[in-house]
Amino acid sequence: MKKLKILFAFATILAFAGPSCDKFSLNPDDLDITLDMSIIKTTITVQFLDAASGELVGFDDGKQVLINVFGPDSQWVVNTTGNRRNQFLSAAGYMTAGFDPYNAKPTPNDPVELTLVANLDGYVPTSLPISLISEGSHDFVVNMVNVEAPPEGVSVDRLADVGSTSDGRVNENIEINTAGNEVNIKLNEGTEIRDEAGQPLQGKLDVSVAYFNPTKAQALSCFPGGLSVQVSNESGTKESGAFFSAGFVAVDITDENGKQASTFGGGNMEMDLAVDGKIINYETGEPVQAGDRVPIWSYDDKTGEWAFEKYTYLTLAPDGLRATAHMQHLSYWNLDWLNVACAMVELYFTTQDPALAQQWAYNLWFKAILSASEENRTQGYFSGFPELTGTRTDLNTEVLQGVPLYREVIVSFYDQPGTTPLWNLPGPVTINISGNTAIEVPLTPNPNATGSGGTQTLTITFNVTIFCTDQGASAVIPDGTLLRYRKKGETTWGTITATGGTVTIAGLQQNQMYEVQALYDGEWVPTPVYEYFVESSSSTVLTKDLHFEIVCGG
Amino acid sequence: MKKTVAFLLAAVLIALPALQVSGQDKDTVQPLKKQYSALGLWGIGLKGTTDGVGFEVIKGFGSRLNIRLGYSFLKIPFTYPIAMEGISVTATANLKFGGANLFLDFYPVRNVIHLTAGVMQNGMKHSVSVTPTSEFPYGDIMVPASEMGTVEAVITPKLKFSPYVALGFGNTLSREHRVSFNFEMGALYHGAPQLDLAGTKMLSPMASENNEQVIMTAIAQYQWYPMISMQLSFRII
Repeated sequence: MKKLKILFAFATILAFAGPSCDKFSLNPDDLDITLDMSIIKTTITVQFLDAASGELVGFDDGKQVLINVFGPDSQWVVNTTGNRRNQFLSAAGYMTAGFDPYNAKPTPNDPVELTLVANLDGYVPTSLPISLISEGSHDFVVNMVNVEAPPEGVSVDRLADVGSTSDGRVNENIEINTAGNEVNIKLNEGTEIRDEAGQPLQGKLDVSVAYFNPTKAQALSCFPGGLSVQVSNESGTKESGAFFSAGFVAVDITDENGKQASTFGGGNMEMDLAVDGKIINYETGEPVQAGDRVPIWSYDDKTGEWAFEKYTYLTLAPDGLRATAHMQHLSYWNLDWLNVACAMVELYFTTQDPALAQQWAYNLWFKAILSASEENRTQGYFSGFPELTGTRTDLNTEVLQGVPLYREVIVSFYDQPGTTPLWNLPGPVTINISGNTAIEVPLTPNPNATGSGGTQTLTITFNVTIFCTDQGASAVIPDGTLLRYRKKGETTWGTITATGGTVTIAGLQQNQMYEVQALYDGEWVPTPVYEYFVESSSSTVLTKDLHFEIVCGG
Repeated sequence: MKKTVAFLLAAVLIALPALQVSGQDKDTVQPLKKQYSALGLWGIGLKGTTDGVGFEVIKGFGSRLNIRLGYSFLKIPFTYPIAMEGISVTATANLKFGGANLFLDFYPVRNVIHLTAGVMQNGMKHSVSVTPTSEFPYGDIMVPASEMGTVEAVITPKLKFSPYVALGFGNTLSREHRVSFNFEMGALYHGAPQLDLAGTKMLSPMASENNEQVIMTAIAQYQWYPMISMQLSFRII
């Protein structure tokens, strides 16, 4: 009997020992089916600013800049969802794009090159040549000229019904003068005008003339295509360099059907423009004077390349120096000396704080000026993660293009108004180089972001995931995706670029509701805005998850 | 865990008085025809179990007790392709069983049925690695399979030293014959299985803590591993 009890005890144990009788229950909906969609390794973010006001174009009024992409690597340009695009619309003044990583990987030996051509009614068309030598997010600024409110140094004249054509031929001599007599244009009777497709212009002609005076910083800042240029030189050889401008004019002639003049036949267009006497002749180092020789360049907005056209010689007129040339086609016309002794300068933002190096991105605006002349050479935006001092992994290289050799260029940094920077603004960096030299820019954490500055605000690193409601899948936010945020009720947005699936925002107030949106495929999503409540916390630096639900499409 | 250990102890405690009682039961126990010294009665065994194949060294004590020290091992690798919506993957599984064991056999009824309890150093480790084998379309970008990464699940027992109980038929060390055969059914208690997920590249977020917890909750009920064992033993001395 006792032995039976023992056997029963063991049998009981064995009963427990079999596989569980409970039904296996795993609800797939409970699983995070999330993919890291940081497939696109190289992105560009372009901000379109009004050159006069400095405001983002279309930030409040819904205006959208139409951006056409040209150039050797334009076929590899994709939108946020990985779809190839050669045309984009800006959203609130921003445009983001990426590159197919398996066909366009930028390296110093094989840069990714393209040109963005920006058009918006009421603004002077402009372009931005881009050359990338490293992966990562790259930020650019395009200053656009509002014809109704141009910046200092830019005059825009729009003249209606200046003459007419029949079957493309000018019916009478046409002479156009801008209000300030900066530009004088003559078209002789019988000159044939055709558009880019070869179609003759017909009927009344309207003319728009934009003149840029290079002695004015604002005018230089919106110089179409920028001052770091790719050119086809006098002998037809391609080279890169930096322009030192003596003047720039953009002429646009349209007929009553909206056809845009491109070429002239059976005659030409005479263009006579003012040259500011304060301009320094790059070749002589002296102020320009009558008899000075200046190269004229025309611009191909499809390739972003300037082509040498001819030389002109300055003449002295009663109202000052003038440059005159006869042109066979319409373009941006540029009086420029080319400095081919230029270099790409690599900048490394570094920190001695290893804990923050991979967590806190720097987001710095910069402006580079020639120290002697205070010429605004270029401006833009740097974003990425700093590297530890003494290490250069080449992952976060920032590049200043077309920096003239043996000339002192001062790069100064500034941040976005209304935001709390994670890093203290570095001081101005003076570059005077004789070759390709890397510049190290040390960064120190901003005490107001680390919580040691006595502020009660929080610095939160958000791990951002996107749930595509139409696809039922989640993804880590792709690198380079732009987010904007603001405290509910405020009108000003702060912006930040996602890197490594995260964004870090400082200056967030506790117990406040914030609104957040991401720029996704040319639109700010989600709508209505995503609301995030910043709870009070005893820790001022923390990490949270941010989970968007949007319609991904694509 | 505590309850389980207590339960096992209870089983052993139940078994101990039975040992004494059965030792006095002349009707049901065959008296030994051969006499062995305290240092004698050794054997070795070869076994095939659901926890692998292996060997044991067996020491007999009197007519009712054996102690077995052994080791078993089994590795089953296999690969199978899976075609899912829009993407193909290959799952590579590696099932590893075995470990060292120290068992005590008690023969309450003659020498043909025995109760076994013991402990096993549990080397069980199962892994499944899922690797995409086809391109993944992301818009117009075709992501090569090699760039998508891998997600790997590794399941290990919670208890590295697992209690073992079994009911056996036959003898693990015959006192009468050189060769004996043993069949055993039992179970290994390893506690709730532990899951470790690891992912690389695109699939890295799949190895989230949440997913680990969800799956671990679903498999938490599988705390026992059924053991069936067949063994051929040879008495040496």
